[in-house]
Amino acid sequence: MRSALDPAIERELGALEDALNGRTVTPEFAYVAMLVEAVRADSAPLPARLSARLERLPAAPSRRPRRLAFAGAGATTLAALIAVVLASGGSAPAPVRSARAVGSPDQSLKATAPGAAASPALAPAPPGPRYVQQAATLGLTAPHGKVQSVTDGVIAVTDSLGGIVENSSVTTGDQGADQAQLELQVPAARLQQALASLSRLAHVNSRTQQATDVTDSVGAARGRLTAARAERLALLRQLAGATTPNQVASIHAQLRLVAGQISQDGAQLASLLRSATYSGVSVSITEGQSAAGGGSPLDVAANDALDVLATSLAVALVALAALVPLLLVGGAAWQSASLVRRRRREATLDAQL
Amino acid sequence: VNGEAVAVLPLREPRADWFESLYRTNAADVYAYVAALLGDRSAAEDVTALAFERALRRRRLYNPRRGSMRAWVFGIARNAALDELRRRSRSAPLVKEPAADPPAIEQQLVVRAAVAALAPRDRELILLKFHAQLTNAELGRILGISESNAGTRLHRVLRQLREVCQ
Repeated sequence: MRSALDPAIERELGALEDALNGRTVTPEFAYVAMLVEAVRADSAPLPARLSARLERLPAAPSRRPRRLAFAGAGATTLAALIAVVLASGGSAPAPVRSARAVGSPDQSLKATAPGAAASPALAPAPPGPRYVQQAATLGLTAPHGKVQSVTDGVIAVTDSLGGIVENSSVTTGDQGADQAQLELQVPAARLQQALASLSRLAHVNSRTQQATDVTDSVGAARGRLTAARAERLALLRQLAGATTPNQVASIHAQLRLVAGQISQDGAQLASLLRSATYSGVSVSITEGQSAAGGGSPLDVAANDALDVLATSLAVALVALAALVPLLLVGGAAWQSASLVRRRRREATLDAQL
Repeated sequence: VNGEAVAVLPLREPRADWFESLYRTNAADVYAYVAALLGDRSAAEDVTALAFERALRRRRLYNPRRGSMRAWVFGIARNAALDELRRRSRSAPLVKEPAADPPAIEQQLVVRAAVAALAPRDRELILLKFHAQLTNAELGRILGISESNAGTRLHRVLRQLREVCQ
């Protein structure tokens, strides 16, 4: 679209277009036609050599455009960035916390006490069985008015797995929401099964697991017990050979001390072995504000889907926040480079003056 | 020579067919323009081949809304020619070779001298207009100036040439 040009200029330019297109021009602009004819007549004809060269071009293997290389590099950077963000996972919300992410006892520490196998994470393992105490906490959100039924479900699951409900309390408040707290002991070998069953009862809002290797403590307690028993045996032998009332009284006193020690060491050993055989599970149940708290599998699935979506959006947001400045800087650099290239080309023309 | 015929070719056409249409329609004019700009027919061959190679490689970047394909190819050729001029200016002074075929008539000789005497930017403008036969809008887009500026400059150069030729 032409604009604001003098009519005389417009006419001349129109005559130029006519001359370039081989149309007749008015005598007023005969010089334009003459110029076009002269410049074109002076044109270098296309050499046959160049023509042949151009015909071969499409068959030649095309080089990979740098633009694609940049795009590839960008995609690689983006993938690496997302991988780093996912790996760090620090800033992304994680409503459902699982100890598996930081090392589940089942993954890193397995009791070799009854029914369990040694973990390669503890290698090189000393000979003999290893004893691992496991504990877990589980936070459940029950649908409105369903705290009691979820509590009943927890007890039923515990019973079905051969566990014990050590303690339970359900608070039904007129002012606040219902809540329940249960302390369970379940066989260590069935801890994961228990957690999975309990998690299906209501929406899980938190879940943690801990593991402590008590093999050394068990060994030490067992050693002390063995030593105390050996000492008692020795004292009994001395008692058999005692000849004076004083000797008998003294040995009896020592035997009482050793018996107390044996009892203490035995109890400690039994406690340690029991803690490795049974795992403590602390379950807290709170009442959700609405049906969104979820109790049915569909609600749980919907909540989990929302969690996953929120996490994905958070990751995408972090990646975007990192990429936007990079893209802005890259775009500015590209624009600057284009401008510099154009200036240099124009300068080449100016340099011919 | 009609650049618009090329501009409407679908880019999904097979690579060889698309390119053949492109170079058959434009190669002669591109070469004439580059040769006139460089003043070196031998170098013009290389630059023209380079320009078409770039066009082939970047054909997916062509946007019909930004002008005809002919204007696009001439823009690529112009950049390649200016790069060649710049490369030469760094290595050795530009020595223009005489035309292989001297003009048959005196008028052509006068016009050639007049065009050669123009300021480089004006000479580039007139060569681009005469050889590529682009619209003023396309000229402006290639040269980085407005359409009306391109028209005004064209008028000014034509006046200079008229004074020399008459």
